[in-house]
Amino acid sequence: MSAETPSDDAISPACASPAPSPTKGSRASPVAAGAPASPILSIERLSAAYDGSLPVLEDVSLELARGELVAVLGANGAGKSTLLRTLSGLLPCLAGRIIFEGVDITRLAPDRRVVRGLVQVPEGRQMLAALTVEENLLLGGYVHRRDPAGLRRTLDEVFALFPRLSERRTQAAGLLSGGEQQMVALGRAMMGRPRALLLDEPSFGLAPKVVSDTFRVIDGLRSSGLPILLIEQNASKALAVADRAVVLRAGRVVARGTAAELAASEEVRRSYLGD
Amino acid sequence: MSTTARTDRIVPSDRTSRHAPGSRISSLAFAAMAALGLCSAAQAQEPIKLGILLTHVGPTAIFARYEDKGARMRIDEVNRAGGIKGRRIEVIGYDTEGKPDRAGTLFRRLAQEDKVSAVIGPDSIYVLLGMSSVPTESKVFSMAAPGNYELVPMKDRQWVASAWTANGYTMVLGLAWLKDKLRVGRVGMLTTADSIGEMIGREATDTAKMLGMEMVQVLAQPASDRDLLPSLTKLNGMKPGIEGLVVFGSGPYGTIAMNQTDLAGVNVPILYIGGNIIPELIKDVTPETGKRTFLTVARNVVADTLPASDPYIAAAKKFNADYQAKYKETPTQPSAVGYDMASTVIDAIENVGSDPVKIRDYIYTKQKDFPMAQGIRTNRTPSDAYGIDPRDVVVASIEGGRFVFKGYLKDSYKALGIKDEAITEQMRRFKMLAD
Amino acid sequence: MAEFLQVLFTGLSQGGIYALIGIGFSLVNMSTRVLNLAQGSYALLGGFVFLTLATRYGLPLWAALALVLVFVAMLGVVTERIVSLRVRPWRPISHDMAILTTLALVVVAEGAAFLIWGPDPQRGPALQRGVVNVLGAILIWQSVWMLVITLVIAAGLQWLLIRTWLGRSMRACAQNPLTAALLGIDVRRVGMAAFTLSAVIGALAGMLVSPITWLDYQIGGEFMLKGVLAYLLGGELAIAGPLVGGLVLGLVENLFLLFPGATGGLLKQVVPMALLIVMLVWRPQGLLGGPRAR
Repeated sequence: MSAETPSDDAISPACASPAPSPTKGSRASPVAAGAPASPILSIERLSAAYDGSLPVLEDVSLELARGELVAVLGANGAGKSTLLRTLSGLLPCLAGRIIFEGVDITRLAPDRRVVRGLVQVPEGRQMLAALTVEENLLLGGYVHRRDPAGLRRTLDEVFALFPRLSERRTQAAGLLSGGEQQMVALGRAMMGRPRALLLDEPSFGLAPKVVSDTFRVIDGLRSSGLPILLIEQNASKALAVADRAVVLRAGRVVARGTAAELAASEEVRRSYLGD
Repeated sequence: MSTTARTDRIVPSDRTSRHAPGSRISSLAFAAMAALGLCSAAQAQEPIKLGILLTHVGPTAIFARYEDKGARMRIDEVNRAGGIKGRRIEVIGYDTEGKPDRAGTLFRRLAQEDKVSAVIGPDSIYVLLGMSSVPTESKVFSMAAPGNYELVPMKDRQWVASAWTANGYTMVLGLAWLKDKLRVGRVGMLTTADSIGEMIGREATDTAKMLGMEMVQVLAQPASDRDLLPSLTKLNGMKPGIEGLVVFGSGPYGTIAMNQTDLAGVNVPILYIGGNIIPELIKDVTPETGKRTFLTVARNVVADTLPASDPYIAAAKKFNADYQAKYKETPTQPSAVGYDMASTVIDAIENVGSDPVKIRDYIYTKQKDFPMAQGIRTNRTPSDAYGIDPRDVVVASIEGGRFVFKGYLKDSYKALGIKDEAITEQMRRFKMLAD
Repeated sequence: MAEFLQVLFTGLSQGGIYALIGIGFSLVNMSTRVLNLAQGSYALLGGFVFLTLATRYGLPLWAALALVLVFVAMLGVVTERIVSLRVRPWRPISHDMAILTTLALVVVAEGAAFLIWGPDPQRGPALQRGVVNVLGAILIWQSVWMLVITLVIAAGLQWLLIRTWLGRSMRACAQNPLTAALLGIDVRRVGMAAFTLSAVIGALAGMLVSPITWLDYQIGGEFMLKGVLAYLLGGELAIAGPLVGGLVLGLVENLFLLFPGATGGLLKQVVPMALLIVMLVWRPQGLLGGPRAR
């Protein structure tokens, strides 16, 4: 609106010079290390339902500590995506609370949650297809639009992380490959300078090679200290990067533990690891 | 604006005071007074009911306003003089809202429930065409005033008559004056791209031919168009040039067409045809254009500038004075038409009583040489629902925002040697008269 | 030649107005997916309020203009509130309800205009009176200004869409409102801005056109029809679509007037609607719409 945009020329392709990557642990949150006891995101006895239907999510409790990656596993229809929609405010809560950084955000509109730093990468990447790569990324930083200098810095960081995107910055995002789109989706989320990241099925519809690349990036983000809640059907990939995990079935938590515990669990192996 | 005359009606629905609780109370009071012998014998008689069914919405609403006032003026005169043989006239007014089906329903209600003796209206041709069979069905006479009565099906004409001439056609006849007085031989025409515009175009072409003039081209643009320069430029480019221009169209279309002739360089006499025959609608005609714009009007419109020898001048002036005194506004042609709608029906009731069938029979067969406020006489017959010689109007131009008398159309027809039979034959061809 | 030029110019200036209304449709539809039929009513009410303030109350034109813009901006906001009062992220707008609601608003606006301004056509003051003769064709100055202002508005909006955050967020909403919300965009505010903007553009169209076409209480529906036509004809591009659509519509309509006799006028009445049907069947994406990038 009133905030002036940085003109497109001002955002130079800074990726040419290797900028410090945020993924290499250079950005450890100062709070994260000291306070594992006070979670950044806590979900308390959450229930949710689509208009008029039976609850799809019942009595789900979950905590995400600072610097932690928690995976939410489950089959199709277990309520994983519903959980994420509720967290991002696209679906109302029937009961329960969502506390983010000590503030109750249960009734907050989706955009207000992003302003607070709770950023989501939606399932299927959801490109703004007709907009260019750069516009997609810039819109990821919408909540910081009044800080054009900072935005340009973050954009340079994202281009440094994903040099491919820098080459394609003026292309319509809808014309990119699935892998490139995933990069845009992640980069777009980074543009919002998240304080916690919600990832919805990052492996969805991607080639195995690309899935591996994606999880490498996710692992990098985790090591940088960014708290991540990862919704994933590919349990083995998810458990490989997660600190802890919960398993959802029919909208309820049926198992929880450290990634190692769950990876070892016979039940989980049979149902979700597919071996 | 005086509202006293209209309180019992329109604005804008059919919920008139007849059904309002207030009127029930007053009729109770009336009954009580009658029982106590407080009412005179005259008041105790049942009133004669007349329906007024006009279109108060849409582009023709402005005409209805004047017609309504004119009609009520005549009715008030009668009531003030003690009614017809002691019976007052009660008006039941409805608004068609420009919807033919609604008009049909309201006409039936007037005939069957309200039990009126006759209906004044409807006025809009669009409305009338959608319901013209209803008066015949319900055997109640409709004193209509459409601009193009010739479009009404023959079978419906025995119960629907027109209170004025076939207005568009009458205005077309003004061509004779252009030829007689201004020596105009070649004319072009701009009309509206719709069925009525097309019909007027044919009437004008036919009239030009009868008068020995040449209609070079008839162009049409949609009535909603406001930039008429494409057509006017085209007419201006005719080789050899046109000597006169015929414009058909009401409202802004007509005014804009006339004004844009200046811009297009068509500086020739204009014969105007259409609904802009009231001051409100000609006020935007520029003085330069107005002076070379001619149209035919009823005599009451130009009463001030009529020759003193005019046989109707006294009647026209009296009507104008009475109307001015009553409504504090200048009377217009539709005011006189409204007055004539009412007086035609009232004359019949005075002669044969309030029976709807007798009223209708009287108007079609016995009402002879009946004088109207428009400054015209009517002699209706079963095959002629106007009963008017369409040449019996006067030619005017627009000067200073008002109409100024220029001459008698009939004189020009005489000067050009057009026979009466030719007119009758033409009226028959255009279905103004039944065969 | 003069005849052809005349038709060309008449077509372009009329088409400019269709384009302005069409752009209003486009802005609201891209941001909220609502076909706001009340688009023509902003032109009606804006035009009438302007001529009332300027002629009856004798306000200077700039003051009348400012008041009208504030007034219609509020009308735009009110429309948005009515249409999406109960909309939540999980309860998206019902397009059938929205379109019926805006249709109802058209009727309300028409009734209000009838009650306030009566049945007679009226017109407002022109920016510049008079005409100019170009190679035998007559250009009405007001029409020239109409066309110029239309192009300026279109260029301004194009700039807004590409270069401002409001524009970017409108385009984001056009692509995917849920994703837009997840990016932190207040989708409802974007919708409100689109309604406001389109109401203002509509009112400008009404004010510009009234000295030429005059206004009556029923003209909102006419504007609406031509605007929808321009919008559907032009295609998906937010500004260029309705702009081209409107100009093409104006040109095509008026080119028929080159036919000899009264045929041209009759064709001008009928052909636009026929054109709409042809477009909807054979080229629903409009003149400028290409295959969607997805």
